[in-house]
Order: sequence, then C-alpha cells, then structure tokens
Amino acid sequence: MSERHHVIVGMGITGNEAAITLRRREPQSRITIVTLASLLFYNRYDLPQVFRGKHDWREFLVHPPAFYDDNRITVRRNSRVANVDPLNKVMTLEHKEDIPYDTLLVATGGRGWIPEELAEFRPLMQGFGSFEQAITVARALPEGGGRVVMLGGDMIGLDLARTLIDTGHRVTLVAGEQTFWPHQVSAERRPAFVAALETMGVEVVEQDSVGGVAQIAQGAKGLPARKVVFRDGSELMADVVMPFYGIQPAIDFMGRTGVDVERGLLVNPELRTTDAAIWAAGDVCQIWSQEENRYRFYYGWRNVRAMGEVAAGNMTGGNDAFVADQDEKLEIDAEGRLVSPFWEYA
Amino acid sequence: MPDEEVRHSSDPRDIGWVRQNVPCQTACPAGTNVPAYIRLILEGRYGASYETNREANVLPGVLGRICSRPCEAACRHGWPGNGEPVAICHLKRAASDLKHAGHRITEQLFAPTGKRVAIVGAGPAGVAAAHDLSLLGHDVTLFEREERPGGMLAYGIPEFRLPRDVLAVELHNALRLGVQMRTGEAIGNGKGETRVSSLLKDFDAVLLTTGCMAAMPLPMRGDQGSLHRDVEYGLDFLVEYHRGERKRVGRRVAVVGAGFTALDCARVARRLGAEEVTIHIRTTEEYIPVTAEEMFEAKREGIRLKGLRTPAALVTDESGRMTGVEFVQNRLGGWRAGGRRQAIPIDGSEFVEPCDTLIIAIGQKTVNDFIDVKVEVGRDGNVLVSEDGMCSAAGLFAAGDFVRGPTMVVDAVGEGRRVSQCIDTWLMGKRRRTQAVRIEPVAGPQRERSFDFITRTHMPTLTLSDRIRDAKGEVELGLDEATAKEEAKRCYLCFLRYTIDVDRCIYCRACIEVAPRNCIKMINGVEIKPDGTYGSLAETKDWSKVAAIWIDNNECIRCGNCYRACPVKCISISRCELVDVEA
Amino acid sequence: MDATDIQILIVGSAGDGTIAAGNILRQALAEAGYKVISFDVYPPEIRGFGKCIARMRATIEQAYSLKQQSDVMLSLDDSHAIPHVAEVRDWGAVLYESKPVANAPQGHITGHIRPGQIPYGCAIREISEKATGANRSRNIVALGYLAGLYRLPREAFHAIIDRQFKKRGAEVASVNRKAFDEGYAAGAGAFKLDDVAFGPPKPNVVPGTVVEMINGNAAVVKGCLDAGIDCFFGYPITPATTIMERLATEMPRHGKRLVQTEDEISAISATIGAGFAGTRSATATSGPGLSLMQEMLGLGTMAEVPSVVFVSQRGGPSTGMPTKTEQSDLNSALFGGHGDAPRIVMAPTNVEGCYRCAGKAFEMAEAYQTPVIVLLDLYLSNRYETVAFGQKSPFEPDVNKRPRKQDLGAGYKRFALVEGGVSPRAVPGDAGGMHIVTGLEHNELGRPADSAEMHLAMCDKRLDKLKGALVHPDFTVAKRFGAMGKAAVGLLAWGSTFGECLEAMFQAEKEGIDCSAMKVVMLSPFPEEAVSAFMDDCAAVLVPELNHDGQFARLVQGTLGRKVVKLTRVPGVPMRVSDILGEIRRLAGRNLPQAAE
Repeated sequence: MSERHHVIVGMGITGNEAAITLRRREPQSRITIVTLASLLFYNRYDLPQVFRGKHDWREFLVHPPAFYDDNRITVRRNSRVANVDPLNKVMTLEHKEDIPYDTLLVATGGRGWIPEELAEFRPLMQGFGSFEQAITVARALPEGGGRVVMLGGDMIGLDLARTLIDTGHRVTLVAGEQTFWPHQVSAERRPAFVAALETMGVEVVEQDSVGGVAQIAQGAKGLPARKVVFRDGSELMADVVMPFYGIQPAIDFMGRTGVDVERGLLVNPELRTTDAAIWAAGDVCQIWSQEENRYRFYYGWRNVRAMGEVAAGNMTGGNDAFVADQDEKLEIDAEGRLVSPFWEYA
Repeated sequence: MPDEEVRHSSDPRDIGWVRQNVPCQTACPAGTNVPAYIRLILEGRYGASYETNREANVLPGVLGRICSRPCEAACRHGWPGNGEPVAICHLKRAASDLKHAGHRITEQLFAPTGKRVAIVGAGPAGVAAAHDLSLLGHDVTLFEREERPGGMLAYGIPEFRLPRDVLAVELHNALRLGVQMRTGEAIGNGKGETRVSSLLKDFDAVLLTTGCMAAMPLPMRGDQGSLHRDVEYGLDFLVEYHRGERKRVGRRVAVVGAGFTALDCARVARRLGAEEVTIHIRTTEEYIPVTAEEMFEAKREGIRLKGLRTPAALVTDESGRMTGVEFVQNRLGGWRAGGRRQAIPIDGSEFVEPCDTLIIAIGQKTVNDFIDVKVEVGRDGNVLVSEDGMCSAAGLFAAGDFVRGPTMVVDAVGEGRRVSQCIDTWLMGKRRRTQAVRIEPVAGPQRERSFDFITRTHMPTLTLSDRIRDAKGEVELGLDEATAKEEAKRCYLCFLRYTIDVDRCIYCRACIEVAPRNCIKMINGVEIKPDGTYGSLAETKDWSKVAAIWIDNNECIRCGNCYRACPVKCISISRCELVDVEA
Repeated sequence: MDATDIQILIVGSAGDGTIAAGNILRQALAEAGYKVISFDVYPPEIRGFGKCIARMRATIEQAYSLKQQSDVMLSLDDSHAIPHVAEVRDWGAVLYESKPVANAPQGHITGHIRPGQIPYGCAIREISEKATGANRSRNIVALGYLAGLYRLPREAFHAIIDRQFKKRGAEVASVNRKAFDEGYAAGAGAFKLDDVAFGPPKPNVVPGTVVEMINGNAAVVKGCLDAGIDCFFGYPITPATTIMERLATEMPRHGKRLVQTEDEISAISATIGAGFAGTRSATATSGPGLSLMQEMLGLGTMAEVPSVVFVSQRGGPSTGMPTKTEQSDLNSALFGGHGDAPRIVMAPTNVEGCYRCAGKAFEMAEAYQTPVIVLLDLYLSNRYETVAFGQKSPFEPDVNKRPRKQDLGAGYKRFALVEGGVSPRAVPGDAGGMHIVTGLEHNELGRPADSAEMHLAMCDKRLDKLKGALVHPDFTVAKRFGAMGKAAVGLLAWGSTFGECLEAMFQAEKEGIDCSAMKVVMLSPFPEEAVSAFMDDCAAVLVPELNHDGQFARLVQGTLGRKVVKLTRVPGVPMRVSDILGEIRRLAGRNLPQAAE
C-alpha cells in the first residue's frame, strides 16, 4: 500500500503548523502544500517591517528551504486550486494537473474584503496581504514621509498604522463599522477607542460624518497619486489608499465540493468539514461553538496556529477539539494607546 | 460533393450531438438557439438576432433583462479553465435594444383551424402559449384578473429591472395576432366571475396559467393569524407597489427570503428610503437561487446579507410597534429536492436583530380553489398534469408555475411554448411540428483565436446616487453596439462541429501543436455505443500506437486553430442546429 | 553587484524553438556587452519529441566553460525541463508555462521546483496567441519575459530579432518583435524575488577590435577566410556541416570556390589536388569521414602537398551519437593513416583558438608541405563565445618556399633533400617548375625510387620538416596556466575540455590547493619539452578527456614514458567541473602521482 497523501492548501501559519505536525505524527506519509504564493512560508505579522527597511524577503522566511527537503514536504508554489472532487479525492490545479489526496486541509486563510460599493476602485487601492503587496506600498511612499489613507481600518490595518506613524508617515483613517474588526467595540466605548487612535497619531475621519467614500481617483500631476472623494464633497489626498475592512475567506475553489459553507467553511470543533476527508483551519473556517451555539471565526496567530496543529492531529487519527487560546482583545493602556495580543507575534 | 449541401437530419445521434454540444440551448427551458443569435449580433444583424430569439421566446427584451440565465451557468466559456461564461442574457437584450426602430417582426402563420382556446392568466406562460397557439391557427382568448397583462412581469418585478414600456411592446407583439385579451376579468367561483366549467363548455381547450400568487406564510411564535402592521408579504408588497399604492417602510428593514422576490423587495425598500436593509436567509449565500450579478448590485446599493438564521418571533415595544425580530441560529442540514439546502434551527440560539419593517418573501404557492371542475391535486397542492400537459379533466390543460410551483420566468415561457404544442396536437389529433437537426457545411472557422481572450463585458449601471434619486430608473443601462459585438465575439459558436477526415489526415500533428487545449487527441480507438454513437476515446501518448487524430468536441472551443494549421485541409466544419420542421 | 556571472538554461522539445531562443538571447547578451559562453544540446531529429537545451553563461570577463549550476532556467517543455530543475541553484529562478494545454507525465513543473528556487509562471502560450494569433512565438514570448524580468536592454533584443527574422520578411520580424514586447511587459510586471542581477557590462576597450558572438565552426570559417582560403571541398556531416554551409555563403562573395563532392574520399582528393595546384584548400568532416579520408591523407604526406582537414569529433564509433560531443578521434587523427606518415595535428581549446588554429593550419600546411588536421569536437564547434577580433588578418597570406630561379628548369628537384626537410616547391604553371608527383616512394626529382637508402632519407625528411611546426611563428603549441613553479596537481588537457579544467583549477585554488594547468594545442609533433617541464613541476598530473580509454593520456605516457592519472568520461556532454575538481581534491589529498589504470 502506498503512503497516505496529506494535501494542505495554503502556506500561512496554519498550513505550516499542520505540515510540521503531520510530519511529526506520520514520518512516512506524503505531505504536499499547495500555495498561491511564490515564496515559502514567511511571517505575515512581520510585514510592517518592510517600512523599517527590511526588504529582503529571505529575512522573513520562517524556515530555510532545506527545512522542506529535510522534512520531505513538497511545496507547490504559484499554484491555484481550480476544483476539488471529493468523490474521487482529487484536487485539480488551475494548470490542469490532478493531485490525488487522502486527506485535504484547507488553510487558505482570508483576503482583504472590499465592500461592493468600492469594488470598482480596486485598481486604485493597495492591499497588504503579502510580501509583494507590502513592498509595493513601501515603494509607493515617498522617502521621508508620505501619506496613507486607510479605509475601514481593521486590526491588521491598525497594526500597520502604528508602524507607519513610527516611521514618519502620516496616516488618515476613514473609520467605520470595521475599524476595530474583529474586535467588537460597543457604541459607548467607541469614542474612547477613537480617541486612543488619535493619541497614537492616527488622524481619524468618521465615515458617517463625510457620507462615505464616493470615489477614489488618480491624483493630478504634481500631487500625491490618489484622491479620495467623499459624498459630502470633501477630499483627501494620499500617496497610497489602503482598504482594511476585515478579511473574507478564500474558498472559491470549494464551490463544487458540496462541503458546507456560510462565509467560511463550516467545521465541527474537531475542524472537520462535512466531508470526511476534508478539514479546514485558520481564517478560512467557521468553527462550531458549543457555548455560543453558532459557527464563528477565530482570528489571531495563536488561534490559527493551534488550528493547524489540531487539524493535523485529527487528520492522523486524533480526535481533539480546537480550544481558542487567544482573543482578538483590544484595550487601552495606561498611556491611552491601543494594545492587543493580536499584534504580539512570537 | 454531397457534403456541400444543407441537409436536415432526424437521426437521434445528430439530435443528441446538438444536445450534448450546445449546452446553452440545452439548458434554456425555452430552447433558444443561442449561438445563432449571438453570431447574428456579430454580423450586425440585430433584427435577425431578435427574431431568432423570438422563435423560442416571445419576450426577448424582457428575458434579456430579468432572465435567471441557466444558459450562462452551462456556457462552455465558463467551464473550468475557459474563463467566464458569455453574457448571453445581456446580448439578448442587446439584440432587442439595437434592432432597427422600424423593425418588423416575422411570424409563420398556420391556416385558421376554427378551434377556440381559453387561457387563464396572462403571465409569461399564458402569453407564450397564447402567442404560439394563435400562430398555429387557433382562436385564443386570454383572461387576466389584473388591469394589465404580464402577471409577475408587470406586478412582481420592479421597474428598475424591467421598464414597463419594454414589457408593453413585447406583450402587444405577442398578443396582436388575434388573441382576444380580456383583462380585469377573474375566472373563479365568486360573484360575477366566469367559471372554469363554463369555459370548458365554450372553448375547445382551456389552459390554466395562473402562476403562484399566494404568499407562503411564515410561522412565528405568538402568531395571531393576521399580519402585524409592520410586517408585509413580499409579493403583496411588490404587487401593491406596482399597482400604484403608496408603500412605506421603516428606517431599518429586514427581508426574510432567498429568491429574486426577496432581493427585489430589499431593493425597493432601499428606494423607498430605508437606510439599513438586511436580507436574512435560512441557509447561506452559496445556496440561494439568484444570479451573482443581481446579488452584487444589491450589495452595491448597501443591502447586506446575513445567513443561517430563521425568524422565530417579533419583538414589539409597549406601544405595539415592532422593534426587532428574534431569530434562531441555523446549521446546514441535508439537501432538499431541487438542489436546495436544508437549514436546521439550533435550540437555544435565539438572538434579536433590531428592525422597523419586516418583509417576508420566503416563497409563493398556487391557489386552485377557483376551479369548479374536479381535478387531481398533488401533495403540494398543485394540480397534476400528465405528459401532454392535460389535467385529469378532458380539455383542461395547465402549465407554468401553476403546475410546477414558483420557478423562473424563462421556465414559464418554455412551459407555455411546450404546452401549446400539446394543446395543438390534442386539438388536431396529430403532431404538426417536430424537431430536426439542420446541418450546413461552413467554409471556415468564423472565429479567431484572439476572440477567446476577450474578457466578459460588464453591464454598465446607473450610479448609486441616481438609483436613489430615480426609484424607477433602470439600473442596467444596456450594452452599446461596439461592446455588444465585442461580447458576441466571445461565443464559441458551439453549434459548429469540427471533424477530422481520418482518411485524409497525414498525422503531422500540426493541429495538436496549435491546439489551445487538450482538445485534439491521439487515440488508438473509440468506443462505439450500442446505438452507434461514439463513446469515450482511448487516448494514447505512444506515437507508435496512434490509430487516429481525433477532435474531442467536448473539449473543443471552436477557435479554428486546427483548421487553419492543417496542411492537407482534412478538417471540416459544419453548423448543426435544432430547428422545428413540419411533421 | 558588478560581478555578473549568470548562467541561463532553456529547455524545450524539438520544435519549441529552444535553440532559436537561446541564439537570440546569447546574441543579445553579447550585444549588450556581456561576455558569453554558450553550448546547446539537441536531438538528432529535426522535429519530434527530442530534448533541446540551450545553455549560456554571461560574465564580465570571458569565462572558460559553463557552470554546473545555472541561475535561471526557462522551461518550454516541462517533461524535458523537470530533470534539469535541480540544475538551478537556490534563490535562482525557474520560468515556466503557467497555463499548459496538457501536463507532462511527471506532472506540472511546479511540483518539482525545489523550495529554494523562485518559481515564475507565465502564460507564455496565451500571450503568444494574443500577440500574434498563433502559438508559434512561444519561445520569443518566453524570451521577452526573461528579458523583462531581468530588465535586459530591449533594444539589443530588437536588433537581434530584426536581424534574425528580416530574411523572412518585415512582417515576420514585426510579429516577433510584438511577441517579444508582450513577454517583456509581463516579465517586467512580475514581482522579482530571485537574487539574479545583471550588473553593468564592461565595454570593449581593446582598440581596433570588434567583439563577435561566434561559435567554433564560425570561428573556423573566419580563420579560413582571413587566411585566404581559395578552395573548399566537402561532404556534410554533423557537427562539421555548418563550416561548409557558412563557407558556401561567404566564399563566392570573395570569388572563391566551394564544391560539395559526392563523398569524403572525393572531398579530400579534390582538396589535395587543389593544394597541388598551389591554392589554399581545405575540407571538413567528422570521425567517420576522417576514416574515409585516411588513404588520401597518406598521398598528401607522400606527395608533400599542403591540405587542411577540419575534423569535428562526435560520439562514435560509426553513426554513434551524432549530436553528442566526444574527444575520441585523437588516435584516428594521429595514427589513422597507413605507412610512416607523420602529420600535423592540432586542437584548439576555445572558440578564439578555432580561429587561430584554422588560419595557422593553412600557413603550416603550406610552410611544411603536408596535410594538417585541426581537431575540433561538437562542443567546440557549437559553443558560442564572445571573441574580440582585430580588423586585420593576423595570418601570412603566402609562406610557400619558392625555388630559386637557377634551380628551376630541367633537373628541378621538387623533393630536394635540404636542411630542415622543406624542399623549395614550384606549383603548376611556374616556368621550369615541371615535376612529377606520385604516391610511390620517390627520389628528389619525384621519380619512383624504392632503394632502402632513399626510403630512409625521405622518411627522415618528411618527419624532420614537421619539427618546424613546434616553433611556428606566432603560434602557441602548449601553455601553462595558474600557479607557476611547483604544484600539487597539474591538469594536462587538450581540446574543448580545457575550459572545464581551468574552471576546476580556479575552484581548487580557492580551496587552497596548489594547482596548475597546461593546454596542449599541438598534438603532432608533440611539444615534449614543454609538457615534460610542466610534469616536472607537478606532484600529480591529471588528464581529463572525453573518451573511453584515455587517448591523450596514452599519447603522453607513450611519448614521454611518464605516468599520468586518467580522468575519462563519455557522457556525450561536456565534462563536469565537479568531476575534475573531485579528482584534484583526491590527488591533492594523497599528494602522490597515481599510477595510470
């Protein structure tokens, strides 16, 4: 009998942790990671470092290339999954290659969500989801200080804002519903949180007070590259406009699998989807919470790493439930600044 | 050479080839010859394109706007690796929009038969049937309860999706061949109403196409049997709105339901001034039967969608005003018939969403208590019809949503067309029309490979602010001529059949080298099925075992590369399309 | 980074345009000012399924051989490229088709790219079809992508593409330009993640020279023309054919004659005939052709007629491996003849050497009145290098030793036994120079004579006169590289393999091994003194060569009676530098000369 083939889609914290766990538990089985990225696993939480001059991606790598050889983990980069056929347990990549699997772990995470009303301006905005995007933003900012307009502003965006301000850039936040995503801030507490942002040096424009974004336009000659126009007619100039409206699970390729989906892949506490051979972990899945009686997302690197480990354990015969060990807590410290364990990557 | 002539074939293999290879036409409930009308658009013959549409569907301008587009889901261009489906629906509208202002429609009329048919309900099914039956020479009388014909088209679908002038023109064209239109005339048992039994006496055949016009109630805790004043049924809401009644909604509107009606209600509510409109669905966005484009437009208008929840009760304040809806959290269950998902409520997971108006649009059902003759009824309350569309009462036919439950407009049009054939056969005692495959040799590929790289055009739309300003302004603005032609180029013209003449092939592989996909294969055998059709191909990579080079029509995207590359011109192309012929 | 040293590998299937793409790339790199060395591998079939590889190394200073590891690989066919993925170094790049029509039996290349390498997927085929309506320009698109990714100067490529395709019409050139530009845009738009970087090239500063990107066979042709070749007779055979092809284009322009004969026997016969008539004439062939020529070469020696034979070696014997390289015709060239027939045999070690040897071969054939064999091999014939050529020919147009007037007339001794053995030679048409030339042993007048004394005298004469070749003006018969003085390991090599020896030597030096290398260009007469002196300095002498038995090692051992260490390989491709280096390390470790065998 040939060895079992575990296939992991996604090479973030979750996918890597899962691969390592799988190898530890099953020294013989085949392990393949399929990722859209061109790079090996790097630390997404370190990406703000590009604004501190860290431009060589090799410094971001968590493991050296040899690690994957040594652990016999096949990494297929630049590979997009087109379809999964759960009946025959075959995954098809976009370049028309079939990869049979015995167990499949979906750990594709999420990508930045852009509200539909802003979708047409996507080409004029810059994301922050990958090393390539981070470098592109860094290159677009003038040396010695540029201006970034952040729309929405979630905790990933706020983390970046801290670094940008630290490195001499000006950050204007158009605050709305998603500003503290995924942290839930009550209406009463919100003004205090906004004030904390201002203490940290972020200029805050409340979306409601300007009527929301009407248009994002190319800047005129000699001016910064972008112009944000609000419904009330007011404008903001920026070198870079970045949307931060939380993240949306990347599950397009799971469309024909019949696996249950709401916004993310629905999994039980053991992280198994409704298909016995398919698991999901990380930002891509909604986990059934017995306490809350609903499916919910868990964010933060500790959580998604733990999910990778739990899923891998269960893919290899274990039966452990995922237990959240970090909250996307956001607090105001003694100096009136926002702090969160979400931002402390170890 | 006999190859050069047009011929008609009723060989089941040829009919089967078209069914298998022209997926859009097969998917279309009305059987529209999609490649043919798209090709005509590229040739700039918009009127002819409109007529090609009209052969199958008498309301092209209407369906070109509001069709649920099963064809696009089937389109080969949307198959894995091929990109996005052709904008078949938008092109249908383009043919209608771009045809000459003085365009003359063409009809093929049969001699009068002297037979009389009554049709009850001037919705899409009734109108389609009335049109086809009148073409076939019968005298048709169409009864409609409302003031205007059109049924759901006139009263259910908002004007910002379907302008009424477009509807009026097409209905008029459909009915002007002598159909007697009697609006404001209800059929039923009530006072002053005409009974079905008397219709059966006065007419040679009676067709019921009254659709599904009764709202499906939503059971909630503490239900008093009557609706709370802040709660409305979606279809009633729309019908009243389109009758011209003044409708009001609160600041926060919750819509419950997952179909086009729910979406329409939400978008109307937004136009009536609601600031927060949320559609609550039992399952998830994955499993709801609306087009992604429609969903996107709704979201652009600020409408949010929340899944996995079922309304359980209304929350009211001391004054009795509704302040919110209590929902229960669901999880996904098994599959229901018709490919829908089941939602299973979770005990103890109740939560409240604040809202001022609740619109319930979870579905509609038929009403059949107006029929005074005895007919068999199925478990779901719909009348039962046999294969030939007839109910258990002789001469009484039924079709459309009235039989099938709520479906899409194009289904109704297809049903109307089909049942008119049945009625005609019954009335005349024989089948007068039948299907055949028209096969015409074609001189060249008619396409260029570069066409395959054109990306799907996006429908230009009214700006968001204009949508609120003019609640009736059509959101989709239509394609201009250049865009329509560009989009038309994308169609693979699947009705073109490419064949390699094995006797002339010199096995040079030039076609394989230029093939855009794995569409030309080296094979060492073909399965021949018992009925003589070709089955699966036995492929080989071993050059020494190749028996033939074969075009896999299923993979073929009709780019013409192989035809152009072949040094010995052994590849032939023929155009194969389903046509109606005299039996 | 200014130490540009980048090796690019293009792998495809026959028909993909692999070699054509490689050709444009290396020319453009040279045009841009880099020094290039390049060598292609292709199958014997013109179309079909065979593997084609174009490899090139671009440097600031001319490199001596290709590197074992490449920095960039471009795959035009995954099934052929997959086995070569491992050849790309860490942080190097692998470029491939991201939207294949069908995948290789081994799967898509992304499943084989190693973790340290950077994958770049490009929709090559699609871009080609979009740009040109056909997929035939895939190779040009891919090339454009590569050029765009590394920001290579677009104009250099445009110039080469125009030059290359102009002959097929302006339309073809413009379509290919478009394909290139589309690919370039895609490459320039890709996010570059590898650490391969082209630094600024060093401009050519040698006054009066022109840098050309040229392969060994083309260099031979240039040498022939600069030496004033009058006649060429040949019969096609890989890998020598391109010599005749090029000459066929060039010679008529200069009023010279080239004849394709019916076979190799005819070719050499005509060559010798033309030599007898006083012209500079040559032929070119490979191992099997050389065998057919052996009998006539004996006549050339006996009749003391100048002729030049270029032999480009390939895998043998018989049809063997006609598109693979080997150095296995040394014995045939040296000893393949009948009788006591000494000849001049020389073997260049690089492309510039091909030029020099070709030109000098004509001088020597004329000066020593004998056949000269120039041994090339497929690797050298097809290897491209950037060479700086002077504008004036460095070769003597006429070195024929003319008879004095008083010696002509009746009794003219065409084969006069003179000091040094080179008799004054009259050619047909010289007044009073009438003489007999025969294959029979003869006396000074050329009349048949088979006395023991005469035969001995003539044998001595024919051998002695060749010694001049060892001190021929302006010609290096052997040369030492690396550390002078004592060395732990000495590399003694001939022909194309010497480049790999130099690379190995440089690496060994970096490792602290005292290493020295000597190339032997003149193989017959053998430069005994120089080689002997070199061997005196080396504790161990290693002889790497591409044949099975160590033909050169045997020559050295047989001539000098001293042991050398053989390193023989017959893979059909150039010797791996690592093999040589490994042997150097082993020998340096022991520090003792190894017994042969």
